[in-house]
Amino acid sequence: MACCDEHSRSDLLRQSLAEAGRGLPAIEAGMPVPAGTGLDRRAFLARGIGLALAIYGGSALRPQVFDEGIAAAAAANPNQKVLVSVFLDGGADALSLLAPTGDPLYRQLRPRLGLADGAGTAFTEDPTLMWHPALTPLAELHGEGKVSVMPAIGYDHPNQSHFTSRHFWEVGAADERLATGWLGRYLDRVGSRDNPLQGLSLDWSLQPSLATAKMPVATLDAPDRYDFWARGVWGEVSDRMIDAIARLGALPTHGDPGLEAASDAAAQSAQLYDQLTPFRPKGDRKAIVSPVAYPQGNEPFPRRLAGLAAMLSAGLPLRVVALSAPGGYDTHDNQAQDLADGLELTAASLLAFQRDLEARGLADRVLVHVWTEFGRRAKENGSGGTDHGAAGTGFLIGSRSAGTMVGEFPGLGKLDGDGNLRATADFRGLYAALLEGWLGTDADAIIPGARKFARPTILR
Amino acid sequence: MKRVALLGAATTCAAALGLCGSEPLVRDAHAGPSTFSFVQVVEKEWTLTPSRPSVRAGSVSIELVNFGMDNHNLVVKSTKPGAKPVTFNQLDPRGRGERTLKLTPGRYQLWCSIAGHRAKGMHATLLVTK
Amino acid sequence: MATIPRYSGPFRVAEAERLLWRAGFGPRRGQAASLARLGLDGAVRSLTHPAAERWLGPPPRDEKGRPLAPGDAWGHDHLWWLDRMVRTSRPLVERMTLVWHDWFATSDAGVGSQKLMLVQNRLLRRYALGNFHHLLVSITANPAMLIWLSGTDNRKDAPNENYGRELMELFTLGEGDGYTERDVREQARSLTGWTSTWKRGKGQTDFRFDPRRHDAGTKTVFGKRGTFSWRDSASLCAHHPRHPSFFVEKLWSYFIPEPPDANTRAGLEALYRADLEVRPVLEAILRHPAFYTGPRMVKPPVVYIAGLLRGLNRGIDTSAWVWLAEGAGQRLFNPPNVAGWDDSRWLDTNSFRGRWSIANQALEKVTLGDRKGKKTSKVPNDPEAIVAGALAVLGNPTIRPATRNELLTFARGALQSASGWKADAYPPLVANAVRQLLAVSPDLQTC
Repeated sequence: MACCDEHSRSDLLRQSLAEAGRGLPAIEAGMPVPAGTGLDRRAFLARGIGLALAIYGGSALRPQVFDEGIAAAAAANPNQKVLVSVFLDGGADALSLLAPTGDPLYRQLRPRLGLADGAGTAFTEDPTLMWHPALTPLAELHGEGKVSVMPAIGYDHPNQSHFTSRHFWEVGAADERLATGWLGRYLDRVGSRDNPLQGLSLDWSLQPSLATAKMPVATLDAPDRYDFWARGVWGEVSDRMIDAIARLGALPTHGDPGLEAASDAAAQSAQLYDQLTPFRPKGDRKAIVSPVAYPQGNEPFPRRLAGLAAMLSAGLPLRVVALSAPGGYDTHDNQAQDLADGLELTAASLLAFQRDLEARGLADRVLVHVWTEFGRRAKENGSGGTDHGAAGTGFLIGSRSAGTMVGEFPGLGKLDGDGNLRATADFRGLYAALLEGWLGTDADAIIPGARKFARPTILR
Repeated sequence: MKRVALLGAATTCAAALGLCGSEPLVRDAHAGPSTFSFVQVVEKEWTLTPSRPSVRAGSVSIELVNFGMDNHNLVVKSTKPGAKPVTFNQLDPRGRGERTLKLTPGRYQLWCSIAGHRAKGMHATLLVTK
Repeated sequence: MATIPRYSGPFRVAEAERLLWRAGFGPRRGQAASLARLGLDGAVRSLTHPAAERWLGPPPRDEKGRPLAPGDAWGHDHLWWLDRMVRTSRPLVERMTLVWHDWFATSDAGVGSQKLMLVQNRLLRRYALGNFHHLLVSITANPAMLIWLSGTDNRKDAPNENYGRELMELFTLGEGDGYTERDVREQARSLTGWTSTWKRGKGQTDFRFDPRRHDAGTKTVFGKRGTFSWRDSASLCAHHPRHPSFFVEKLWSYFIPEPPDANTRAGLEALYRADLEVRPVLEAILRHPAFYTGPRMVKPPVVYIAGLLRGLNRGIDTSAWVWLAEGAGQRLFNPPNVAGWDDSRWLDTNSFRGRWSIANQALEKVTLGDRKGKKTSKVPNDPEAIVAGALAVLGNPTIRPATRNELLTFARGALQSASGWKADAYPPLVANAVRQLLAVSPDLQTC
């Protein structure tokens, strides 16, 4: 028996997708002159103080309607507050993120998985807690007063299905049938019909929290990878082709909803392509230049955050952004290693993002909300891991964050009937506070039954 | 109530990131179509199930699917004395891996070699016929 | 009985195209014209009473030229079905199989066996145009469904409501329409008794009804009392007075985007209520004026892919179709949840890019001037000829005049700037671009 070959499917798929999007190099062998020259017809135009907007200029090839929508959206409120939602997929272990090393029951419940005293930074607001060593970057920001910690956030009657609990968080209600996301409903209320960037999923597919009923939203892997390449098309023909997509999408639809959906998708895609032009690598030009160093490697998360900071810096009119953190948090086994790996990259990337925003003078405009669908069982299982639990950990990161705890750590002596951490803060109250305090809108119109939930202090 | 919409989104994403599979299915320079067969091995806690009990000798694409909640791997080893085992990379939940092996006729043992998993039932036999 | 309106307008190529797209996967070359010659009734009848199945075109292969192994290799399940969509001579049967896959949405992500998914697929195809009551009974006892909605976990001493709830909510009545939470619990009791055996090397096998696991007691469902079994459970739903309206509205929605008027609805319900046969209802929908005169529908991604391949006369020759379909939002055998795919959300900026990649892949084999060292036929420096050529390559689909004008404007503009070496180099580029633009145009994304 001999092994012929082995390969990683993930590498191949990444490669295929990259090829599908990235296309051929700008210069093809055998062409009389370099293709792709003289095409700098899109430019940054300064509009107002500190605002640089990627808009179309220099030719009358394509309809301006969406660009004007974008320009209007950006010009109307250049200081628009932005909320970034970061999801720890799988149910991150609250008792590791902030380990209750000072709780007498901790060693008993976590004989193998318990973190050693002093392994991580002490949590200054509650001496029984200690930051996971991989979260040192967040501890650093917490020390600067830029992280609000929710040590036990959740909801009553906790559901231990990943899918159901995640769904509750995404729709902003304990309602299995609600089809729009809580951020989607925010956009439906305050968004604009001609700005898909207002709700941006930095992912392969729509982040469900951004699902709207009527307003356009955008989904893209990364701002430097949104491209339209076609075999046997290059140079200025390729550029004109993108303009033609937009024009096809702008043709009259005579009120036909099917045609309208297909036209909108085409127009919005071409528009997004235009908006992202400055972020697409060309020749030797690096697509995104960051003032700080982000973690390197194959994981898209730091690259997406770097791209996001660049987009905000360029004045693109973003309101709400959603993406998933690297790592797998459903740690039924091998928790010690798996959890550390994911948290380390996540925290280092978030720190770089905050420093990036600070360097660009944008830090007062952006708040990052880190969440997970539930925490994990207090008692470790027999396979070096933990099973699904109830209350989990959340963070609000940003220069405007209050930097103080939301809800206290409930202690391990008061677990619920399933042996899980009880919630001391409700995610719907947090959402209401974010909507009202940060995004400036009426939470009652967006979160069902919002009145019932106390609004925590989250901003300074 | 079964709502896996959110999982759907997650797996689509995972697939796009290559965790769920990709093309091409196999990369194999040695075998022609006539001698090629496929077998898929689905693993979860605590079972290991090949999609067929036997395959024909020759190039065999063995695809490992981790359908469980834990990490798993796969070892393939002929029962002939002195046979060397082939070990697949360990996979995260929902991960997939594939290797193309040249298999001669005989009986092969398949198991997950993560501590304790084989004893809990994660093993099976694959028959390779002429 | 209310009279169901029938379309009486002209049945030309455009109408035949719509029929072929919505009741199948688009026309093969020249198929719309030949179908138009049959007239509306003949055309509909040819779809609902198809002759014995024939396979058109080359058998499916992966990119290495190997035959597919749908039960044994990742993605081959998807390719296998996509191939049927492309090559079948009975497109409505295949399309209805897809409708039932969405209606009784079962995902391999929960089942974990491509083989069992294929068994279910055969069942859905067998009842494609058949009797809904029989389909419902069969799917209730289908192994993939028994796994997916916890049927084999549902036993006398520990009832599981998963299937009982969806049976009413998603399959037969609609959410909260004509049943109560008590009915859900009582249905769960009626459905108890299914089990399977796990065998080493074979997985879950021997799916069977075990009377010892069944709750044989008296239940009250929809106000009726009896010692109901799983068969009774399905029959009670199929014969529930609210079922025909749910059925008619849902089936209609797969073919016509706007709901039926009251008169049509009443007529279709009466037609269906007689014996729960699917075919007569389907025929009435396919002959309805709203089918031909109403607004367009966005093609589901696999319909879009299969249709492009049919138009291009290309078979399955690469497993790229698996990840490309997934990128556009529709991986066969993997619907997002038990409610199926959301037909109102096929298109966003990323899935549009996904469709762009699909079109690009579909046109791969006919790319002009792209083969190293291979002379391709000369493309004329003529916008009209380039646009006409692109339409011909894609099987001459009917498009809006405005779309044709935009393609011409693009071709003209791109060729105008081509002087010197570009005069020779640009026409194939422009031709490739026009084909790509045509393939992703709103006209070809919808039907």
